[in-house]
Amino acid sequence: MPEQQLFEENLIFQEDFKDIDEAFGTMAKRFAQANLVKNSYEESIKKREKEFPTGIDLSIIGGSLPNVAIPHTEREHCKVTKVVLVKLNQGISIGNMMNPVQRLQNVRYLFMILNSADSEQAGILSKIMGIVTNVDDINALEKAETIESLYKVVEKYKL
Amino acid sequence: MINVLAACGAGVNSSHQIKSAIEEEMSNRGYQVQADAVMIKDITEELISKYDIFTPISTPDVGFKINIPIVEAGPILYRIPAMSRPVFDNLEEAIKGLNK
Repeated sequence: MPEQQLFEENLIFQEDFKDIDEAFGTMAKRFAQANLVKNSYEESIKKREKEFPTGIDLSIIGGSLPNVAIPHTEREHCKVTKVVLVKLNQGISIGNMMNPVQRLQNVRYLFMILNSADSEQAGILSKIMGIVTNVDDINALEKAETIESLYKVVEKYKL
Repeated sequence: MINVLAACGAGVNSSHQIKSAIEEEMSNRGYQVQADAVMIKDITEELISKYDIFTPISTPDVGFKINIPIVEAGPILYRIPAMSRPVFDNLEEAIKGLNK
């Protein structure tokens, strides 16, 4: 199989969501329209994020880095295996995956992982963690003002 | 053979990364470890009784007392040696404590 990009330019977004619920509502409808997920995805991703939050604290890596989140849900709700990158113009608050009772502030990037039932792509999270713990990549994403320039930062990553 | 149970909310991604990392590092340290990845909601007393060590991201409330050693494995996900080493060290201690 030919090497596939981890990210696609048409699956990168820059948005003004005020909280994670608004982000999920809007993104889930887009995914459903593009036939990437089933209609059950929106309810499932919202529920799962409440029970098992996916915020990743990057203050551990460097004091001035924004935080990120890796929202994902059970395979049965997804039709494809993709990673969707959403840059948030204003930081939102999301629970910390490592410590669910803690709210992380200034979450500025969502790496939404769609896992379809018929694929085993356990390495995706590992690749995303490689990107978000790379200070140069995060700083480049911070500087990027357009979808095209955001894509340029992450296009080197393969599935 | 040491049987380890990794778990996360969706049973994909996080728990699979923890499973792979634990199997690889424990093999490097000379232990025969087999790990499985499941969804937290699928954990029952019967399931957990088949394992030697439980490695969730952070300790979940599963509604019953877990009677096997628990090693919180979340920091492994960062893939940064300084963060994963203490988790692997704790896991190795737990393995030694099994006297298996």
